[in-house]
Amino acid sequence: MPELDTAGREAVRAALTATRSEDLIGGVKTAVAREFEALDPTVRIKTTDYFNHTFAPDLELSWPDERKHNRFVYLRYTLRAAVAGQDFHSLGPLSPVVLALRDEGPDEIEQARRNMAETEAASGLLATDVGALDDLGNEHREPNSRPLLELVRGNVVRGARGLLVSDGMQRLTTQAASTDLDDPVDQATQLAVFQELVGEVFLPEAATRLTRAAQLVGAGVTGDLAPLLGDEEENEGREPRGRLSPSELRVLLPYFLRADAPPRSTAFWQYLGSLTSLSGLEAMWDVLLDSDLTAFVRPNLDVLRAKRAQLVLKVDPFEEPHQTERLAPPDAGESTDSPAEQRQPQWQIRHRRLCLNTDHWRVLFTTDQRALQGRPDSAPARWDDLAAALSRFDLVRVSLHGAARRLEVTAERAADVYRDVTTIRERIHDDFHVPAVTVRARRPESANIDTNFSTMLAEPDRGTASVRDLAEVGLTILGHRNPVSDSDLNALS
Amino acid sequence: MPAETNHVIGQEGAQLVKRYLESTTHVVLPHTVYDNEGMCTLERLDGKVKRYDLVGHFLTGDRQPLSVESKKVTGVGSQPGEYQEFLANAYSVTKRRRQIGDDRREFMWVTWHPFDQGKWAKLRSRPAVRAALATHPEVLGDEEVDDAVVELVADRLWLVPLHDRIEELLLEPHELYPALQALGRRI
Repeated sequence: MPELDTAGREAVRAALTATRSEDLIGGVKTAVAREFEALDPTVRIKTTDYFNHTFAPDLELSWPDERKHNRFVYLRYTLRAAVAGQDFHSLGPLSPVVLALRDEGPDEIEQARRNMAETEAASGLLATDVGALDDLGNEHREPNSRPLLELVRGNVVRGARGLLVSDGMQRLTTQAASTDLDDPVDQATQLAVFQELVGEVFLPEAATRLTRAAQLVGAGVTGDLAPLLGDEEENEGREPRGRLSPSELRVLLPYFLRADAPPRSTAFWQYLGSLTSLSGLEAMWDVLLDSDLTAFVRPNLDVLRAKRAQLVLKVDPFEEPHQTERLAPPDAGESTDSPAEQRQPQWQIRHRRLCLNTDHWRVLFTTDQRALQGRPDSAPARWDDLAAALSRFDLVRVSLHGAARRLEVTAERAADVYRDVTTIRERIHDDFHVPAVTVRARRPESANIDTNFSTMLAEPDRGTASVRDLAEVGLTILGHRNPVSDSDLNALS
Repeated sequence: MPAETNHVIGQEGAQLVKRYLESTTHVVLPHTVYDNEGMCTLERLDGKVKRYDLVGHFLTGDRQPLSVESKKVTGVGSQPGEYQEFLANAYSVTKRRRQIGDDRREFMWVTWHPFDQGKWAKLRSRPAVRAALATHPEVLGDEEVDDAVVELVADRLWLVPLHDRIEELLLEPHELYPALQALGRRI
């Protein structure tokens, strides 16, 4: 996650002192882009060549989950200049962000407020200044304590409207921070107040998203998903309204995982799983680094699908080979879990990938095959060592390398492959090594899974496979030399 | 009229000039004197400075720099004298800029009310520039008038009358931005 620029105001102010126009424009745009990224790490920012132009935007913002929606940003030196340039009227139909680079006094703010109120076309436009965004970024910055404020913070640039400067921004953050959904009795009232607030300050789509996110926070406390599921039934067959975006999920998932009293309902976690994917998890790796994801992943083992998995032997459970990727202190990770905790397989994010930790093995999963290249030279398996593990699967193909012969055994029916190899083994006196095996995934509609003992990779022969299938195949077949316990395997079934 | 009111009128005028000129897609004017004095300030031959209301450059032609004076006035007022100063400053700034390698700047006077109507057609002529220098010799510093620079400056002058209603003829931002992109006029 980009570091929050706590001095956005100062960065812009410094850039504005440049004496060359190119330096000024470049410096200002860099500082503003940093401010936006700190508030919403999911935003994609395209910088244009123009600066303070009447109709050509300075920046174009877009979001990967919402192809149709983008938002232009028009930089202005001051709100006063925006008013004098009639920007609220002329740019209003584009629903952009008009961002003033300098703070202004109460008179100018009042003038801008009147101008905006009088301009019907500006109902979707957000007018704010760098100082207000700075304040928004720094207000109540206590990770994981105020999810609604974090949600609001991440949505201002994307979906807020109206004049949000100084007191207005303060009011928004204070109200969002003080909304408390922990008390089930008072929750409905608090939700209604929050809904009214976001309805006032945000465009309809963003307001709906924020309301649904708040309902999810509430459901995490009560375990009651009815309000969320009810909305979805109403929208069945249509584009889901207010579907949570990665911006909300990167706030909510760490919040639920680290809560003092995490949600206990499997249905709740499954609902959360239905909102994302493994690539979604990978994209928010930075906010999940210190979390135990087990509560989330176990109910979603079939929903989360990967293109490749790699089995890695944990030689030293205290080993942390890629310490630089960790943002948290070293005592926050799995390597220092107590032995008792280590006995349960634990799901984490490591090296930007989903990872399952067992006593001896670590299984890494990825949606990008390039991200897991595997080992170059692991020893092939011996059929005699592997046979018992393979008996638990339907075999599709087995490669056998003997001293004198090399065989590839395949058949229409899986039972035939295993039987054929057993027969070959009985009749030919050779020590067969097995470099690769293909097995059928447990779920009938899934692809076959290729395993390679040289690279210690398991991957579907087409498309994706569930992390459940990949983990089971990886641990049982690739990991047959150090078999995992039945309880570990049961955790996957 | 109070200075603050004049300031507001002047800023609104400069913004309309900016909207009008940028809507042609030929010009960008990122800085106004109301927002950034430094960017709008140019040095003269005598070491003093001249501040223009708007500063930018063309997106077409030689992408020349452009300095604009905006006069949101309701009558002739003091424009004849101010225009002479504008011409003298244009000469002085051009000569000074040539000494540091910037040889292409153009100068535009935009007004809401015509002036010197009897000689309107000659206001952008070489004699007009020479006459302005005769009236304001202080802009020359220690230098003599250079006829080549007089000729250069006269060719780079723009005189544009404007009316508030021009706004009704301008395309909307959502129409103009695609046009600007389609035309490939980049900074």
